[in-house]
Amino acid sequence: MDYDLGAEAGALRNRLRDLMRDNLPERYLGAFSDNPDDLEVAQRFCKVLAAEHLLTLAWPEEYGGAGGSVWDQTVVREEMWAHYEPRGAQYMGLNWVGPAIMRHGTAEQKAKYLPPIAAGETIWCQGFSEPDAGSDLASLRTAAVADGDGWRLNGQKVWTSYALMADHCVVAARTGTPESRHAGITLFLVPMDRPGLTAVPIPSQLGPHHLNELFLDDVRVEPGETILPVDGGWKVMRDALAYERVGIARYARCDRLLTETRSELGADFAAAPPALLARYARAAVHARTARLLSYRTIAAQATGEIVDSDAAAARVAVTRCDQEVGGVLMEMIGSDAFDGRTQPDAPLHGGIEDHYRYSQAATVAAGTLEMQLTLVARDALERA
Amino acid sequence: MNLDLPDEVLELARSVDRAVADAGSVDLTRAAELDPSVRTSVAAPIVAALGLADLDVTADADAAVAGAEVCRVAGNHAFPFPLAAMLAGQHLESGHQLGLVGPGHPRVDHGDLGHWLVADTSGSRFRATPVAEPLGSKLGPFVVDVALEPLPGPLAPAELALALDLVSFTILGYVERARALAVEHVTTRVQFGQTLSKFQGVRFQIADVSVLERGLRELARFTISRVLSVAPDDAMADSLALRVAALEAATEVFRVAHQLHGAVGFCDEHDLSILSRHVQPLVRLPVALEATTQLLVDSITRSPFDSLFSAAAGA
Ligand SMILES: Cc1cc2nc3c(=O)[nH]c(=O)nc-3n(C[C@H](O)[C@H](O)[C@H](O)COP(=O)(O)OP(=O)(O)OC[C@H]3O[C@@H](n4cnc5c(N)ncnc54)[C@H](O)[C@@H]3O)c2cc1C
Repeated sequence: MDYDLGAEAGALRNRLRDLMRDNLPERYLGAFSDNPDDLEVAQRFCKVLAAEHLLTLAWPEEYGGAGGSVWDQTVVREEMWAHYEPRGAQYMGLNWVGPAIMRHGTAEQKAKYLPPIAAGETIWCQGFSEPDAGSDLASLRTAAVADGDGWRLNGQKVWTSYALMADHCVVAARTGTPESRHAGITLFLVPMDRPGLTAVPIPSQLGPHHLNELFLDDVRVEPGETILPVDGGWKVMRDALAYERVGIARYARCDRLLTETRSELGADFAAAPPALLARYARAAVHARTARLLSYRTIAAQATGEIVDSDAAAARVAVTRCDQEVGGVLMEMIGSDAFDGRTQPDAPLHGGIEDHYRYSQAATVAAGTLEMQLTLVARDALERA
Repeated sequence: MNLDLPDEVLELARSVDRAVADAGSVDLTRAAELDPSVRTSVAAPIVAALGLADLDVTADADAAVAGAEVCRVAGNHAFPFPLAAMLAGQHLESGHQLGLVGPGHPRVDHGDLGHWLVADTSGSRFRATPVAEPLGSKLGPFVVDVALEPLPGPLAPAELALALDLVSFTILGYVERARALAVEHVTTRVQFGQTLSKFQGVRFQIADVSVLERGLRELARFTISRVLSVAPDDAMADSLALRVAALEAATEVFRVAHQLHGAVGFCDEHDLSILSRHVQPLVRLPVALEATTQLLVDSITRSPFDSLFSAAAGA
């Protein structure tokens, strides 16, 4: 047995940290703020990564990627998330929209959509959820009706992250009968400036850009903008969600925040109430465990396919740990807990406050905790 | 990165499993409760026949992993023998077991069998001799009061860490079996016209304990694979972390397993009852969850817990 990610991965980690140090403001907390400069930083940083061939590290070489191993990709995910995802919203395109187009797109679609993603020039968003279709995504109702050689979309999407930043959206719509569920959904690649498409921000405790509504009012979709086959969208969505399951290395930010809070507090750390220190210690154990569970999933991915129950177990551990760390560290900083990124003296420049708020959604976003538990239980009970 | 156990380790674990299962598995433990000499007349010869007396767990990482897997399998069966202590001690002094004691009056599980070196959690060393028969109590059937005689010089931190890890692997074995029993029960027991496993409340509890068990297994393997190679302080922090995880998992998995079994799980006729009683000395000696956590806190206060970012922070 050997848990070393290897010399190359170590070098990659250092290279990424150097690039972030040189190209990001000190204690950058990501693109999702009211300050447009933060988005600018992320957009610039994506171009830096693209120039270094690091943006599409995970992509196959034929699509301009570096063909990196899953462990290289792991290092990228860990470093990006630990540093508040300085790729901003572009990770969507890189992690799943690009790969989905590689797998299911036509030659024209590949030629049109992949190069701008690889160059760090475009933002995609994901229009899956609807007001009445959350965990039960297969019940979605946004309708696509044939319109000559293309389609017309009518309906509403919700929780669409980054919709106001995005250039394109992958819209899941019903092309089958209302009862067709999984068997009647098609994915459409819709430019955000298409007439009839309106994005409206939803103010939330998570901060700007994470949640939006998307209204589709007779939106025309051109012939080349459909992922084929018609009615075959569910499989692509499942692949996308599988990507998301291992996608976010939340444990890496937990590791970073735990370590940095300890150093930032200095002598005050040891003076914290013993019960709180005990929670801190256990959170550190849980972060390590969550990382190792994620590595188990990735190891399976390296030799074959992601195992759903492995990925779900890892996500249960990772998302719970995310909230646990948020809770412990907020308590450690006492009355400074209210200070976000705009307060000059906020602990870790507001990094703890930001993490705490966002971690509340960790067990809801990209498939709820209960859906993960359902997968783990199925495996445990059916293997018996 | 290679997360697979070596083939030789898997083979050894299988042969230990076969031998203990053939000897009656948990029934052997029941027999030992009635007649503690079963531990020397039946359990010890199994250990000898498997050649475990020649296993030096400090030889290399694979040997440590092998010893740990043997302990895990022993835990699967609540095997009534101090296997972890034997593997932790025999390379230190021939024919000796290494026990761990906490504050309070010193007690060692199976302390009446063979020769004992013991260490406390700070590494002070002692020779231990039994001063009474095994307690024979429900929760500590083979726990023995011992007298300690100080020995010069501390135990090396890696040795202490290894001894802790072997116990944690034994606990993992108990956890695996308790979870498996819970799954078996809920997939066969029918209430309201369907198996319990059809109820989502039951399924979620199974999922929760599965996640705990999976996490403990990954952490245990990670810890044992590097116990002989990391810096002494890190080895101790690792082992305390593993023990914290093992005790958290044991507490929750046994709670849930009992709950899902209903009344039948408390009967000694049922393996769950034997397992949940015999795991008690492992989770309470040398120190239980809160005191173990406190030791980990002391370690983290001295130097950061090793993580993706601890090196950047500077130890
Ligand atoms: C920060 C954030 C960003 C998001 N970004 C996007 C995005 O970009 N694009 C997009 O399409 N969607 C996005 N989502 C939506 C997300 O995928 C959904 O929130 C999620 O799938 C849950 O759906 P819901 O919110 O409707 O909750 P519901 O499905 O209504 O669930 C509410 C509660 O009921 C529980 N529940 C539901 N069904 C069951 C069941 N069968 N058994 C037991 N419990 C059940 C759930 O687990 C949950 O606890 C985002 C969400 C968040 C929080």
